[in-house]
Amino acid sequence: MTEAMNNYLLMGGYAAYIWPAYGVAALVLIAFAIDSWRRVRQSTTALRRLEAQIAARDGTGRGGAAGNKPGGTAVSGKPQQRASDQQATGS
Amino acid sequence: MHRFANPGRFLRLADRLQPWLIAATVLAFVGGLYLALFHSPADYQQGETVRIMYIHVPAAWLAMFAYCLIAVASACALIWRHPLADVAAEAASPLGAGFTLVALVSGSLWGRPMWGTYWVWDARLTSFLLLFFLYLGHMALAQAFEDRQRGCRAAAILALVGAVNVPIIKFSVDWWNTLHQPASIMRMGGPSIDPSMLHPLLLMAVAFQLFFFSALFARMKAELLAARLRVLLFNRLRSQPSAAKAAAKAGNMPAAGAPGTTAPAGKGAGS
Repeated sequence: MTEAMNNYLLMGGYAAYIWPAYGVAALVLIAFAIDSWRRVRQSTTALRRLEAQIAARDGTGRGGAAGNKPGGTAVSGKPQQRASDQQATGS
Repeated sequence: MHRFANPGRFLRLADRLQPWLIAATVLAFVGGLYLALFHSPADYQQGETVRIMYIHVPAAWLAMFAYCLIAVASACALIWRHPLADVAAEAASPLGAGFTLVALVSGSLWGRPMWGTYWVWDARLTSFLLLFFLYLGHMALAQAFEDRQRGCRAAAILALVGAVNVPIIKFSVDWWNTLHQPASIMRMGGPSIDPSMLHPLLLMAVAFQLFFFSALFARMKAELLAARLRVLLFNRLRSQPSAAKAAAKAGNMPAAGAPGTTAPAGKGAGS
């Protein structure tokens, strides 16, 4: 069993060429998958945070002129908490 | 096609498609790798090294396909100002560069045992290396200007001019003497490759293609959301003169938590 597997992995003596080729392809594909997923997550959270901030400000009665659409998808949860987090990081 | 040029509609469609695309990508890779690595036979001339083909050829096809897509998107962006075209071109560019690199490296690793060299400066290899540099130039140019739109325009023009390289790559093996073998799939008279090798090759090509589209849609979505974020930040700045002044002092574009911009919300949270 192990001998058969060894023979297979040796690839008729071409293991040093075949496996690196597959390795490079796997590396590039995995890197793209992770990077693309992270980009979506980052911009989604940043947008949600800002929308929540705007919604929170509108809720206190000072907003309205912010230019945001009323139909915007404000996220439920704790917008005011998030807004104050923002202030803490900003100052 | 015009119906999908609306970013909102694109986002809804992409969100609905994405899980299916990812599932299909995984399935195609599992099946393709099984056929390529276990089920397909060794070549009578090339031995086991023929298995590099199942990586090399799909990556090279995809590298050229992605470039064609960028060229078409660039034309749409320049002629009709499609709101999605620039986003698509910019999102596809790094992916194309990555697949070009995979094709170059795997080809090199295939060339060493079969041709006795990692690299020759013949027409096919050189024009493919040029494709890689075109991708890098496209990526760099799109981000070289402070004004995003100017950067996208410049990159679009580069992409269109560089498109002449695609047919050169395709026909380089017919027009010039080369070590590279001629086309064996997309040729007059049908494929000249045995079905036991053709099937894994095609399945791997489908897998690469599916991967490309799921990554492309994800990157386009990320960019569209980021663009919406920029618009919201800009609008908020405009509606708050004090914040605008502070931002003008700090630079042209504010960070999400620029001082002063969150004052009203902060007051609300405190009370």
